[in-house]
Amino acid sequence: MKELMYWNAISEAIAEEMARDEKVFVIGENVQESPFLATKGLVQQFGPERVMDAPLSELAIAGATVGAAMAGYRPVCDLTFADFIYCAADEVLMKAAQQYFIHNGEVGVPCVFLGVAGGGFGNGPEHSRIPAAMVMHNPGLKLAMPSNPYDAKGLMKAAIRDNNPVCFFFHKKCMPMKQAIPDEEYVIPLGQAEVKRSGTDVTVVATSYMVNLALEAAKQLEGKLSVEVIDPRTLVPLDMETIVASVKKTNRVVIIDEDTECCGVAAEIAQQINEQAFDYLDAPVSRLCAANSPIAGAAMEKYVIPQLPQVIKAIETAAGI
Amino acid sequence: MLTKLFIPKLGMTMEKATVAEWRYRQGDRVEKDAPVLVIDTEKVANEIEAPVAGKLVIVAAVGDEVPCGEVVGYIAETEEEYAQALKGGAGSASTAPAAAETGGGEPVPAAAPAASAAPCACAGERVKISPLARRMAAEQGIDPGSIAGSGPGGRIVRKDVEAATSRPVSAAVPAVAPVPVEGERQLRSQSPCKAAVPAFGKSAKAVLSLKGIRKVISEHMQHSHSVSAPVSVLSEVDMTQMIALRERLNEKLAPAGPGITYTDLFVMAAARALKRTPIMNSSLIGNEILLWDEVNIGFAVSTRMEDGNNALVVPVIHNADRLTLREISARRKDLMERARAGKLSVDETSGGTFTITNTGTLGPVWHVQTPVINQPEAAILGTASIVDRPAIVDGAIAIRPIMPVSITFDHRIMDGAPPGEFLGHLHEMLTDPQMMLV
Amino acid sequence: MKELSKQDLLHLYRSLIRTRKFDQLNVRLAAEGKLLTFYHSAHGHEAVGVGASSLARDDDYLFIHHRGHGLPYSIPRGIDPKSCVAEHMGRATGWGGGITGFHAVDKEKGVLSSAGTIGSGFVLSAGYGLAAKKNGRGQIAFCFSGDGGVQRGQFHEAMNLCAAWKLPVVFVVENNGMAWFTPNCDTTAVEHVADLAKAYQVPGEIVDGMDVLAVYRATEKAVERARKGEGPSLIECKTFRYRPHSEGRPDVSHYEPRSKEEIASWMERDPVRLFEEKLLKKKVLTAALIEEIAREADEESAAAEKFSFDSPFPDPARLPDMVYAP
Repeated sequence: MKELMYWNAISEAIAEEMARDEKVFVIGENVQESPFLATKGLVQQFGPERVMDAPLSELAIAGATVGAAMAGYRPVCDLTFADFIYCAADEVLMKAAQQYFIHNGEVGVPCVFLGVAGGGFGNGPEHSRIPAAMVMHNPGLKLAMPSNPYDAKGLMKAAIRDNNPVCFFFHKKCMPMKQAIPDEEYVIPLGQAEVKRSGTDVTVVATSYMVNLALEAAKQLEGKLSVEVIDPRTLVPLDMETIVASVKKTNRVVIIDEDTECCGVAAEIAQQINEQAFDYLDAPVSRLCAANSPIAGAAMEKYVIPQLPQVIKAIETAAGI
Repeated sequence: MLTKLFIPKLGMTMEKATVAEWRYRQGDRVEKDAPVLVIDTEKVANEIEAPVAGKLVIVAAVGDEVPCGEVVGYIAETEEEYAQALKGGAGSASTAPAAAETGGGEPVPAAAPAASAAPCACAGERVKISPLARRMAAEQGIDPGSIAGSGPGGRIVRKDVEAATSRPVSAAVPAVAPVPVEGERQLRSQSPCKAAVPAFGKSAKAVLSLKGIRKVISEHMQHSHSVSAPVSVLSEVDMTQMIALRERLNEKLAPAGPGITYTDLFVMAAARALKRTPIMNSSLIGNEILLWDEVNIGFAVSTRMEDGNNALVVPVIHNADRLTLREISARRKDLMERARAGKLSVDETSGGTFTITNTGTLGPVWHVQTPVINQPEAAILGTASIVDRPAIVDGAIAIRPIMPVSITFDHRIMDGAPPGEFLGHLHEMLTDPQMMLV
Repeated sequence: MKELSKQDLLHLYRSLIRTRKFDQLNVRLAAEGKLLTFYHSAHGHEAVGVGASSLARDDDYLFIHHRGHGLPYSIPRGIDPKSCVAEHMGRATGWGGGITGFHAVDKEKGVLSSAGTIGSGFVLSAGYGLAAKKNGRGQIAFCFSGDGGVQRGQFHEAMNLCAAWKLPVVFVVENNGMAWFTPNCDTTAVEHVADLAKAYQVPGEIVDGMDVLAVYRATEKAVERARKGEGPSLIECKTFRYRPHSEGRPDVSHYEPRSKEEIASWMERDPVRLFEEKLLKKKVLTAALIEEIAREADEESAAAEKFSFDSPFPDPARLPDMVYAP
């Protein structure tokens, strides 16, 4: 066992996969220096041919990623900020997502779109988003959003090995997290939620960094409420089985997600709960998301993105107290 | 014009019916003669057809027991009538005149709001209740209207249902997929059928609601045992000659018509034996024992219900003592087929004076039985599978086809002698069929 | 530059004839309502696709332009065009299994994609070129496009990236002067696409797109440069479409009918007839051979129509399995 930071868990996973499979390479803006650290140190190990600094051309970077993937490679495309997926939308949503279908299942697009996501640093509307619902809405893409170093490493390895395009959004606020990582190799299959804390009164389905807020809230509510916290870990595929089993146990559920509320991740999960566990609900499915607003910057950010007191309140409300 | 839908009186003894199924929803357009409603009577399920075309107004909810002649809904010809019936329909239903047979076509008075809290879409405000609480209340048989809700806006939640029951039920049911059961459609339509319901410390894999024919049988059987003093007498009959007779008859008759069954022969023999022992063909009603003039013999037919349960139906062969064997056979066959198709009329299942239950098809392991009297009859005959057994014939042991016979009689009406006498006659006729001619 | 053999020339001629016959088949089927999708005719453009794609190796990558929905690029490479017709008729025997509407695919022959979002081809081809470079086997990528797509950002991002990384990509731009119904002179001040390439230090050559041999020779140079690892090139082929943008649409420029004189003047330079005359002069073709090749192509397209018509529709149960790769 060794302790690894969140970012280091990601870079270690990429390094292990690059060593394992020479078809894996990294492409993106500043991936050699890696301002968000996810690809830090890779160029020293694998050279500039496999850790490629590209021009500030998201369409070209994403397009080249898709083309190389169709031609047999497994690129890891670093979009830097997850927000920049919008700059590359044609290539990610129209091309990466749909080429397998368009080619009648003959040509796949195995690649990873890596992006640092979420708020916490007051970076404002264009550098603080988690475009999760948009990814979920585009069939053909998968989506992983690790909430801690252990999951980040195991999910990244699964993402690189997957034969489909996988968006991998890691959260800025998770960066300082440190966790014991096993020495032996492990892969976390995409589509397996984890019950991060078990409880009986109310289920909290939380995503990305919100998992950590939910766990902190559950701790503060100890003695008052028994809170179950579920981290889907990947939103596509989505492990509804684990969520529904929990809802059937607690009969109450709140979904906490940092993407904006309208047509969001929480809305989708809530509807699936309605479809699969309606007769087990003792209260309406509730949600806490970013407000339907651009993510405000600086001191205003906390009025848009859910904070711990709101998380606590949302859990209490969902539990009927 | 508003036309009433009411519970028709479908047989002499019919007093009420249960609303089993609405084939259309509130406000649906129905055509004339379309089967709009299914009601369960004491004996069978019946379809009620729309007397006119129009918009359906449902007053009585599924599961409601409604006396004959009472209104259960309306068919409105215009939107105004529809709206009017929706507003006042439930209230007027409770005050509807009992003269049902003449009820069609009367305008509905715009009556006061419904006083009774009938759980139907048109009867007052919706009860606010969580899906979980609704399911729990249904399982506990509690009317949600009687529970006070503590949730937001007065919503009834789990803890309210728990408080309303003496026995707090864990709602934390194991998360397993619902077990598909036969007849799931019907179960879903009416009563909750949920997977792995913890009850009485055990886990039920499915919940079948007691309703329709099953409910009727249940009530009848309990009623029988609670009012009568049943005594069962067991006997055996050597069927050698009866078998030979049936084979001869079928050789001659079968090409021309349906085959003669043992049940046919038992009906014929029993009808004649009953004539000779009238007390066996009687009923105790109040303080009087009525010796029936007619000999109407019911015979039990096992039918399969939609939920996979079996249910006995007892069609009646009226005046069996006056019918030839061929007539009995034809009648029995017709009634049996229609019983299995669920197409019996109420009169065809009522008016019996005696019943035969033949369990021959259950095989030889079903030997001794003590049938339950079909009240208000005085006795019931049970016949079982014919099996080769050792018998003493002319002082020597021989293999003979033996049939077990049981009689259950009501000791309130008679003592042991009449059933003994009846059994003697029957025995005589079954061992020597020529005696049926005497 | 190697001399083209009689066989090479006949291959080009036969490909032109087959491309035209199959294009005419698709046009007719579209008019008869038998195509279950749209169709963008290649009539007039045949020489570009045929001339350039004839130079591709089987292990090269091709991104195709929507003119003829792949016919001019696949026929010279030995891809059976009946799978194109079947795809457009929605049949399971089509090149996309009958589920794609029109998209061409032939993994064996490197036809990896075509794009509905015009312009994507430039950056995907950069990816193919990147893969080709990494493979180190002398493969190259061909990217066919129209002049309209050049106005999207992807063109510029791809030019920049391919030039910077010396990716082995041959860009072939079929400049017919129109983007949908809008003439380019009204939407761009740049007359020659080749000039844009030069801005990114990419060699840009202008050729007569009605002359299959001119296209072939220009492509030959670009291919050689790419295979030697010297980077991308752009060939701008001046051409003309004889039919409307897509079948069933009005043939207009902006909203008014296109000039009949203009069409007639380009018709005089019909790429098929130009090449035919040249080969007759060279005695590579005879009247009898012309007739034989035309008859064979007619028979082939008639058989393809019947084949497609007789083929089953795909099983819709397959669709959910086509969303994600296992």
